[in-house]
Amino acid sequence: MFNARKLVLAHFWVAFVAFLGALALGAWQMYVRSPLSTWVKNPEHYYRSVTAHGTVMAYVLPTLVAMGFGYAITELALKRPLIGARWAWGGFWLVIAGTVMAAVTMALGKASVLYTFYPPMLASPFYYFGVVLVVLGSWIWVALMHVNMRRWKKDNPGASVPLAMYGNVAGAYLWAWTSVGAAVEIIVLILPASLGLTDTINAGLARVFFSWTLHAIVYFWLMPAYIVFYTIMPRAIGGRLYSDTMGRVAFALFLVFSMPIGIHHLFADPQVGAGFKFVHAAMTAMVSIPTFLTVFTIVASAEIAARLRGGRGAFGWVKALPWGNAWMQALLFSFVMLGFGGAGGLINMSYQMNETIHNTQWVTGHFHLIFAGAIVSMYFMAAYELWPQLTGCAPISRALIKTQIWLWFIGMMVLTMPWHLVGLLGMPRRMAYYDYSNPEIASQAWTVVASAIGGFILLASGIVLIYTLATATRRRASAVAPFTFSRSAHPHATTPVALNGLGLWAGMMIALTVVNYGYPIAQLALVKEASVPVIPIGSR
Amino acid sequence: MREQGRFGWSNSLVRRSILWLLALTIVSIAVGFFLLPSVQADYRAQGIWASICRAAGVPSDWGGSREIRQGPLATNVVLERSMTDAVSKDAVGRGATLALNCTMCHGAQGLSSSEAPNLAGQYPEVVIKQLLDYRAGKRTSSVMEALARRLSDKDVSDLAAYFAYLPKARTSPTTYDEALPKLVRVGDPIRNIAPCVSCHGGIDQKIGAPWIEGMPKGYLVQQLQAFRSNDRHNDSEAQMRTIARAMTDAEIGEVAAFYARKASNGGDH
Amino acid sequence: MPGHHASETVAAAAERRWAIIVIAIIGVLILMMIVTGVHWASMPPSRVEAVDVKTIHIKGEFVESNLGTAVEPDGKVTVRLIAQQYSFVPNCIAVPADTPVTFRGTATDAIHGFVVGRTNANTMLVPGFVSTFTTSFSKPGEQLMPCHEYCGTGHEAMWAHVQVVPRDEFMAKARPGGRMSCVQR
Repeated sequence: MFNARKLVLAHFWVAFVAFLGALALGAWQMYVRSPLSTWVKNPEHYYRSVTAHGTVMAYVLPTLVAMGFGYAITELALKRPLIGARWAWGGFWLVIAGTVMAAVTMALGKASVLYTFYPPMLASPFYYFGVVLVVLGSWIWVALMHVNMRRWKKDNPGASVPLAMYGNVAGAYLWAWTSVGAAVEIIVLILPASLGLTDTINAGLARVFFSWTLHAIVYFWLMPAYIVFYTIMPRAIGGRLYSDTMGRVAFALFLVFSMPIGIHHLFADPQVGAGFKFVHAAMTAMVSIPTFLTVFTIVASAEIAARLRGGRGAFGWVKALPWGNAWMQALLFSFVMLGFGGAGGLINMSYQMNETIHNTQWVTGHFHLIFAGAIVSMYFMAAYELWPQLTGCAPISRALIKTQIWLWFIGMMVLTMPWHLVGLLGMPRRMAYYDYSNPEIASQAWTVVASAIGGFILLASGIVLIYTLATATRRRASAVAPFTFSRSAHPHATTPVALNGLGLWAGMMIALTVVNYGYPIAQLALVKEASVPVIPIGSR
Repeated sequence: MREQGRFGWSNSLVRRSILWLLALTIVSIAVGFFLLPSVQADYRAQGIWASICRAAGVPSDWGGSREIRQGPLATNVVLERSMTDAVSKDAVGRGATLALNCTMCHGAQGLSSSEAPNLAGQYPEVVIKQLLDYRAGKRTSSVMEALARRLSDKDVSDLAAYFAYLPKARTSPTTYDEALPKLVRVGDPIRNIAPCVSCHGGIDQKIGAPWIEGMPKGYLVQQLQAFRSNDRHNDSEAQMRTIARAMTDAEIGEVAAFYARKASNGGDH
Repeated sequence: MPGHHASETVAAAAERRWAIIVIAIIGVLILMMIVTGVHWASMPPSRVEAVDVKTIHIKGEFVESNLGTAVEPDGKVTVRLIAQQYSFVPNCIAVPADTPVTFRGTATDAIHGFVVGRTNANTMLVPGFVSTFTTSFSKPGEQLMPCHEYCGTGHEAMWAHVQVVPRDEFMAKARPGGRMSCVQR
């Protein structure tokens, strides 16, 4: 690494410390709404905690990890100093400023609107300013990723952009475009109302703008994890990447289809017509394709590792995989969670099936399983892998890694499986307490107890994570081995030019946005009944 | 590794990607905007263009029965956020003059020593709504209806400005421990009783929901019982009647005692 | 090189098999959406209907006296309800079993939503818009109907009930132009 070591470390440390704090809040939330606890004394405290937990886990943790990982990849994959390190620090401090502003406002109880904002309810403007600052800081990162890739391509004409950087920049472009939705919602609709400049707000339109951001943001969160799958995992388990080109296809498809599908979050809403709901549902089916491709490619890459170790037979090679390797276990856990979470996602996207589970605890179980489970576990592995580069420590203790990821996997399964079930039984979301003395709810009580136990297991895992990273420098390496990404199985293959750049795919993303969102937004902006009175929260 | 090929329409990957995307978009639009809407019952009557517009989200309706069962309205008042805004000193002054007529029952500083409610520090939109409801006969009281009929709209908002300007009976509780009655703090979900503090100030205030701390206990009991028996029904869409119907006499007494107890020494300040 | 070719064919065959599986899964899901969309023309809410939220309690379809379950002159059963902080009105809804019931609802302040028990009756209620969907209930008895969209600090107390009454019993009680509910007065 060159200039970016401290920069990346700063991003990761803030991300993981905030993560641990939010984990503790999450565990408390699971506990306090379960039969193990009496009802929370003041329901507003529960919603305050949910707002903080969601804001950190959705806006702070993944943004900082993507940014830090992105800077690291820029130097390690392009093998040259990061261009614009000063700007990068500026972006980092903007994110910190925004986080602190939002955190203080939430802690004071002036922003209990949950991380999805929920207009016409309005919080203190400082909460929204805080979120805007975080997004602005991340846009600096996007610009730097663009500049660095372009400069490298100019200096290396005709060369293939390293896959890790390709995915990294795809994620950056995706984030830039998708964050526009929430940014418009906050700046145009929410802030004027929150500042008292207007007494009404177009809540239906705000929901549509938020849906613009809401789905693709999870693919922005997913990119770092998939970069790990393609460019680190195969090397870590002793294999080769089955196909570099397929990796690019997956990233390109994510860039095209992640964003213009957000209205599947609005299937049950009355302010969008069924025509657009169907189109978004059909295109959501398309965004499952890059995940299916990834599953194939990564399993094939693992098979290469197994056969290199002497595995034989159509299925017998599975036994020859390096099961004792912490990375192999992490991959297995992540794929199991991706499988269950992805299946749940396919159900959520299926328009009419969505009706059964909309806004029930199934949804909460789903996104914890897929994001907190499959994706965040790869954030951990990225940190473990980069730590020697960043701190000069010896490779991280395998025993600690295994402990941490086993706890995370078990905790996540115990947390989310009962959660899915109780959602099917009709338990609604986001309630500070439930009356377990009612017979219908009493039969659901055991699931909440189980999930609470899972939450505490996860908290333990988070503590092990911080401990592991903090104490890693106790063992210093005499010389840190240079960082390598995974090798392709066909290293002399060529890259199709369309998959060496992102312009075509970004253009498709923007065109699809116009088709899929243009009319709903324009139309809702013109419906005068859609502007409804604001509801500032808090006592007067 | 090196890149291969030239970027442009002649590149087969570029061409095929764009064409497949177009095809996918056109087919899904065809299904979503033509095929699916064609099964709506009123499709044949109103034609394909109307169906496409409806599928796109142009506001329309389902036809069907337009018959509305009319009944007496709870209230005619539309609560506007502008009613909650701070007002000019002149309005407060005019309101003070008008309020001289109110002191006999409601106290010199808006803090009553009888069973009439305190008005000091009350949210302005609450005073406006209740006076307008009295004036229209939506809330019954022989005394108040007669008094309210003499007030113009401007008088009403001036009075509201004046009372809002006076200091409240007391401030909200700062600790939420078990000393508070259960219904006040956490409500009763299955009976659909929301915590009082989530609408009446304390942690949250719903527009039009009065500040009730320090109110005379007798008044609070009387009003909750009136909501429960439907004698009082000026709450829009039965917000309070729904809650009061589910409450027992003991609970009504308990919450009223809690809120009344907050005043010190019977309410004179 | 023969070895190279053989492995390429194996890989290509594996890739083709996977592609077929993926296309089949996606195809089935999309087909299912189309078939159920054709079959169930009005669920989930599929049409945009606007309503003036400020005067909802004064005029129009959602005045208090018009809420509840109605048997229309043509025999259709319609439930009209509103959601507010923090109750549904009526907060005890009576419906006949084994009959298509059309729900029409809106919100008067924040965004609410509800799900009925373990059924697929599930919708959002957004102020300014009317949500409409049709479903039927097969099991007689009482079900819980919670609000499932965070609507403020009283959200956790927003529970209504749905009573599914055997069809004959329900129709016997229905009066023309009347509105039924199971709210205890």
